[in-house]
Amino acid sequence: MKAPPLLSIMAGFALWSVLFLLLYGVQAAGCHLAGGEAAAMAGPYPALRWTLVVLAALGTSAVMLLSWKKRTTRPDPSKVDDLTDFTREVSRYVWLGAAVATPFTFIGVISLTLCGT
Amino acid sequence: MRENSGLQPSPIARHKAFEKVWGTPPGWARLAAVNHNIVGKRFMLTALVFFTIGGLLAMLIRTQLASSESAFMDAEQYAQVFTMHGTVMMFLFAIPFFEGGAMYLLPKLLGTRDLAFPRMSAYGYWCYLFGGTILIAALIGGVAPDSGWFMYTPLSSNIFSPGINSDVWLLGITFVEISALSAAIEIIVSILKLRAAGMSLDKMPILAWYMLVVATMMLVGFPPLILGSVLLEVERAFGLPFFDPTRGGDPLLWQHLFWLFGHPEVYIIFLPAAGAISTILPVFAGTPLAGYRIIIAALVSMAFLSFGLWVHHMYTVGIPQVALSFFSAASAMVAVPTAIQIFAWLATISHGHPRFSIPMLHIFGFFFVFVIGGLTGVMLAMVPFDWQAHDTHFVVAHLHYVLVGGFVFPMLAAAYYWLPHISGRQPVQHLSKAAFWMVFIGFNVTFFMMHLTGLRGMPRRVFEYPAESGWETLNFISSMGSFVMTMGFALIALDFILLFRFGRRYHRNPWKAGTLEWAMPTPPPSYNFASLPSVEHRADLLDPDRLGPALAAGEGYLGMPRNGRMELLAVDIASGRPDHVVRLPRQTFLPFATAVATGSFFLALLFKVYWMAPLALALVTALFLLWTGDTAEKEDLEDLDIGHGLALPPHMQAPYPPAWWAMLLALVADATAFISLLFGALFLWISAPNWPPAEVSAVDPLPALVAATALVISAWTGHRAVQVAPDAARLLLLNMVCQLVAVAIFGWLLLLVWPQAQAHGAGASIFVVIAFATLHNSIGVVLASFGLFRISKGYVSRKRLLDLRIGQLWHGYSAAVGLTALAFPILLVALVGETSR
Repeated sequence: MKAPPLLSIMAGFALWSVLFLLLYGVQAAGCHLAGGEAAAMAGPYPALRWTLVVLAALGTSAVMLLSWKKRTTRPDPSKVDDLTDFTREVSRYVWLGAAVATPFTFIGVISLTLCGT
Repeated sequence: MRENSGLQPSPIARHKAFEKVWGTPPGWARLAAVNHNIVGKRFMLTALVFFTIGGLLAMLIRTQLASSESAFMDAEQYAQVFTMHGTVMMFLFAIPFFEGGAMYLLPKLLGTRDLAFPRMSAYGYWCYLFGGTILIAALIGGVAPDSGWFMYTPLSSNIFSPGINSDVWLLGITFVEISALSAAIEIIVSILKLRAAGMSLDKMPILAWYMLVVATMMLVGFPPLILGSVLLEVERAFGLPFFDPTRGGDPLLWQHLFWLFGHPEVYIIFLPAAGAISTILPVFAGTPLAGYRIIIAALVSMAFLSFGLWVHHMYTVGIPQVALSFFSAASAMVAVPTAIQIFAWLATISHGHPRFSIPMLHIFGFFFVFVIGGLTGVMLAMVPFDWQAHDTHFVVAHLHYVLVGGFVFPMLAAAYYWLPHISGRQPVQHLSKAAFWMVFIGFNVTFFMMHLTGLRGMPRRVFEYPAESGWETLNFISSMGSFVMTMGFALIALDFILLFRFGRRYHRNPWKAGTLEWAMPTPPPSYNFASLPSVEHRADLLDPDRLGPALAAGEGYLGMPRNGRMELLAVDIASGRPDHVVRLPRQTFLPFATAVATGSFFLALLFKVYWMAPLALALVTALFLLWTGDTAEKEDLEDLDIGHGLALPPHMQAPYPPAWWAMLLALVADATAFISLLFGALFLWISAPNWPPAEVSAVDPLPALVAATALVISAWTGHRAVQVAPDAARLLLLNMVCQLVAVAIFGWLLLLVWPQAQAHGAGASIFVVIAFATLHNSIGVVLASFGLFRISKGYVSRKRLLDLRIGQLWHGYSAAVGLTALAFPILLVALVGETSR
C-alpha cells in the first residue's frame, strides 16, 4: 500500500521525534526511579546507560535502514507521474536529514553524565 | 440567477452578479464582513497599530537605558513597559500580521475565492481585537502584565504578583490565541482542499508550502501555551498548585510548557517571511526559484527540529548533561535547513539577472541581519557559551537580530511587493530608499551594541545600572540608533500613505510575476476570480497576463453565481482533481456577536465574577449553534454543474469536505493540549519537590467501570449512527444518555478530588485531567443533541451525513479522553507508590 504523499514526506523526522521523546522520557524517568536528586551524586547507573545506548543504537539503525531503502527503491517507471516523483525526491531528502540528525542528537548517551548537571 | 451554462455574459455583467453575492455592503453591515480580503486587511492594519504601540514602548525602554541611574521610569513602570513591549510585538503584531497576510493572499495564490471557513476568520479577528484591547486597556490603566513576556513562575504567581496584572496576560493572550488556532485550521484546510483544479501538491506555489508547514506548527505549538496559561490561571484563581514547589508543584513546568510553544514560535514567525522571500526573490531575479523540492524538505525538517530544542532556553536551570546534549544538538542542526534556504536564494540570484527594486533592498537587509542572528543563535545553542551569556543583553541582541532580520525586513519587502495589489497603485519610491537605510543603520547601531553590553555582563530587564559599570556609552549609542530606526519606520509609514494617495496606477502584474494573485483586477474584487483557474504547471511559473483576461471572460470553472450562493471548488488533497463544490455561508453578524460573548467569558474570569462565566459559555455555545443553519439542506441535491462538462456534488454530500478535516485538525490540537497536560503531571512526579503527597487516592473501581462502559457505548453509538442514518435517533439518544452518565460520574469524582487538588500537585493534576474529560463529554452531549435536532428537521439523509460524521469523530475522541482520564489516577498512584517504596 502506498502512503499518502504528505505522510511519506513527514515520516523520516516523525520517527526522529518519537525517538527524541522516548530517549528524553527514559532518561528522566530512569534518573527519577534511580533516586532523583541523590542519583546525581551516587554513580554511573549502567542499566540506565545501556538502556539509552541500546535505544539510541536501534533507533539510529532503523532510521538509517529506512533512509537507505528510500534511496534504493526504484518504482516502476511507467507508474511514475510528477506527483510521485516529487514525493519520492522530497521524502528522500527528509529521510537523509533524519539519518544524519538521529546519531548526532543521541551520541551523548554514550559518555555524558546521565543524571547530574 | 441563471445557471452557469448557455450564453456567456459580458465580464461586466459577470462582475456585477458576483459582487452582489460576495460583496460586503457599507455601514453597519461591515461588522458582518466575512470576506477574506476584508478580514485579512483588518488583521494586518490592526497588527500595524499594535506594532506602533510596541515600538513606542521600545522607545521608552531605550530612553530609560540611555543613561545610567536614570530616573525616567521606576522599576514597576519599567517592568510593565518591557513586558508589554515583548507581549505586543510577539502576540499582537508578528503572528496576527502574517495571519492577515496569509488570509489575504492564500486564496488568490491557490486560485480560489475565499478561505474554507470565512466566519471563523471573522470570529478570530474579533477575538484578536478584543483580547489585544484588554491588554492595551490594562497598560493605560497601569495594571499591565509585569512579569516579562514569558511570565515565568513564581514571579507571575499569586505570591509575587498578587494584582490583576498577570491575569490580564494569561486571559488576554489565551483569548487572542483562539484566533491563532482558528487561523491555523483555516489555513491548513484551505491549502489542502481549496486549490485550483489540477494544482497537485507538486504544483503548489512555494508560499503555500511555507504556510502549510507554519499552520501545522501553530496547530501543535499553541496548545501547550494555552494549557500552561489555563493551569497558571487556575492556580492563581483557585489555588491548585501546579507551579508552587511548597505543595508539589514546580516552576519549571511553566518553562517547559511555555518554551514548547515559545521556540517553535520563532520559526512560526520566520517561515512566513521566508515564504515571502521565496516568492518575491525569483520574480526580481528573473528566474525560477532554485531548489523548490529541497526547500520543501528543509521546511519539513525545520518544523520537526524546532520542536526538539525548547530546552535551549533552560540550559541554566539544572537539567542533566545528557538531556542538554539532545537539545543542543537539535539547536545546532536547525541551522542546516535554514542554510539550505539561504543557499537556494543565493543560487536563485546567481542564476538570474536581479533587479534591485525596493523589495530587493529589504531582502538584502534580511540577509545581512538574519545571518548575524543565526550565527549568534548557533553560539547560544552551545551549552558552555549559553551559561556565560544567559539572561544578558547578548540574548536580547540575538533575538532581535533573528526576529527583525527574519520577520520585519522580509515583511517590508512583502509590503512593497504586494501593496500594489492591495491598492492598485505602484510605489512612488521617493522616500523608500532613505527609509530603508535609516531602518537598517538604526537597527544595527541599536542592537549590535547590545552584543557588547551583554558580553560585558549587562543583564536583561534591569531598569537602571551604575555609572561605573562601563555600559553607559554603548547604551547611549544603542538608544541613539533606536531613534534613527524609529524615524526610518515613520518614513516608511509616510511612504505607504503616499503610495495609496499618489501611487501610479498600472494595468496588470507590475512585477511580471508568475503567481495567480496577479491574474485578477487590482484592487481585487471580493470574489477574486470571475471563474476559477485550472493549473497545469507549477503555480509560480504561470502567465497571469494571459490567464487573467481568460478567467474574467468566464473560461474557467464556476463562472457564474448560482441561486445567490457563494461557491468554490474543493479538490483531492494530493492530485488536485476537482472533488466537490463548497457552498460558503453568507455575510453574518454572528462571528461578531460570538466574539463579544467569548469576550464576556474572559472578562468574567478576569474580574472574578465567576457566576457569570458559565452563562457566558452557554451563550457562546448557543451562538455557535446558530452558525449551522446557513448552508444546511433539507433535500438531497443533484451534482452541480461547474462548467467544462463537469458536475460535482455539494460539500454536504461529499465524503471528506473541509468541515470534516477541520474537526480532525481541531482534535489534533486538542490532543496536543491533553498530551501536554499528561506530560505536565508526569513531569511533576519526576521533578517537583515535596513528592510523594501525603494523600492521593485512585478512583473507586465501580463508578469508574460504569463511566468506562458509558464512554465505550457512546463511541460505538456515534460510529453506528453514521452507518444507519437517517434512522439514528435512538442511537444518538443513547449516546447522549451515556455521555451524561459519564459527565455525572466525572463531576462526582471532581468533588471527591477537590480537597486533594488544593493540597498538592498530584491531586491538582488528577483534578484537571478529569475536568478535561468532563468538558469534552459535555461537548459530546451538545453534539449528540445537535445530531438529533438535525435528524428531526430532515437535514440528514444517506447522502447528507456530514453532521453525524463530525459528531462521530468527536464522540470517538472524547471517549478516548475519558478512558485516559479514568486510567490516569491509577497510573499516578502506582508511580507515587513505586517512588515511595
